[in-house]
Amino acid sequence: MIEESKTLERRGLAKGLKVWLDILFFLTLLGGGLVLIIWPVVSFSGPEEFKLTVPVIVGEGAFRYFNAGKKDPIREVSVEAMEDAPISTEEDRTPAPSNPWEDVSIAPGFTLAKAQGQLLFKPPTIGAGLLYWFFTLILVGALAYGLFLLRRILSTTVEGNPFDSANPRRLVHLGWIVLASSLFATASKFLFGHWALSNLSDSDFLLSPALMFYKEWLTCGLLILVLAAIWKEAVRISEEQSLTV
Amino acid sequence: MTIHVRLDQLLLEKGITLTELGARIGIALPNLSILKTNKARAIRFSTLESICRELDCQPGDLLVHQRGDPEE
Repeated sequence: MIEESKTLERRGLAKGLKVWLDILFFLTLLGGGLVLIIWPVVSFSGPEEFKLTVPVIVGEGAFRYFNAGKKDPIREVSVEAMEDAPISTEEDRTPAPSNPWEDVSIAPGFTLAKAQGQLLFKPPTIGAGLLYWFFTLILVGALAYGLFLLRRILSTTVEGNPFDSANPRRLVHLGWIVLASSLFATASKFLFGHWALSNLSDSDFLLSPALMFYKEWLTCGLLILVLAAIWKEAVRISEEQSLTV
Repeated sequence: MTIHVRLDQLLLEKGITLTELGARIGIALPNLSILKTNKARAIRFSTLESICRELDCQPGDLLVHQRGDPEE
């Protein structure tokens, strides 16, 4: 009787988790639908100009080659400034500060070395906007598939069969999706940032694209792969146990 | 599998059905069927002891080692 109630309690926990996962999954599908259909329509035909956001570092970045410091000196970037910016000449050229915070004093013993922010800009072509939209869709799709796999795993647990032979394979897929999404997000944001800065003609600061490693996602993906290996062994033991008379 | 379970033959010799044996030793029919069809991966000593007691036989009468095909 006690064993049965503990089993019911465990399944109740799995059922509760599944409800949350179901909610997240359908919200992701809804969000994906909005990204797929409504966002491009609103962005490209609405009254507001379509703008992209990329992470940037104010100051020298990790890779000197990608620094925008080779460019001409600049003022603060805005859509209006880009349209009205004068064409720079050789006489205007002065070296941009490598570290704009050098003279900023915070407190004795403290120096502001770097600042990170978001660069908001209007893409010069619709193609660039569409490419950004497509990359976003890939990440939303990966999230939806990951949630789908989690739901399938929890379904087998609710049915009382957590060591279903398909679950290790699902966990492996989930782990690789998380790892791949992390690397894809890092690479795409860096490349978009580099491309955006290469289109800059005027800025007061040395800007460089931010190389953001999503360490949490990487760790999570690796953890899931380790769990998949353990689960596979558990499935083998469970099958052997079920065939022990 | 190279360990062959002669449960069929022993039940025939003793004139007992599988269902009856399962009821006597407290093992479910599906589990005994797994044993009878040589699909079992392992057998507990307690199960072996129960079967041998009911069928009045030795473990060597129930379990027979058959050499596999060398090419396998």
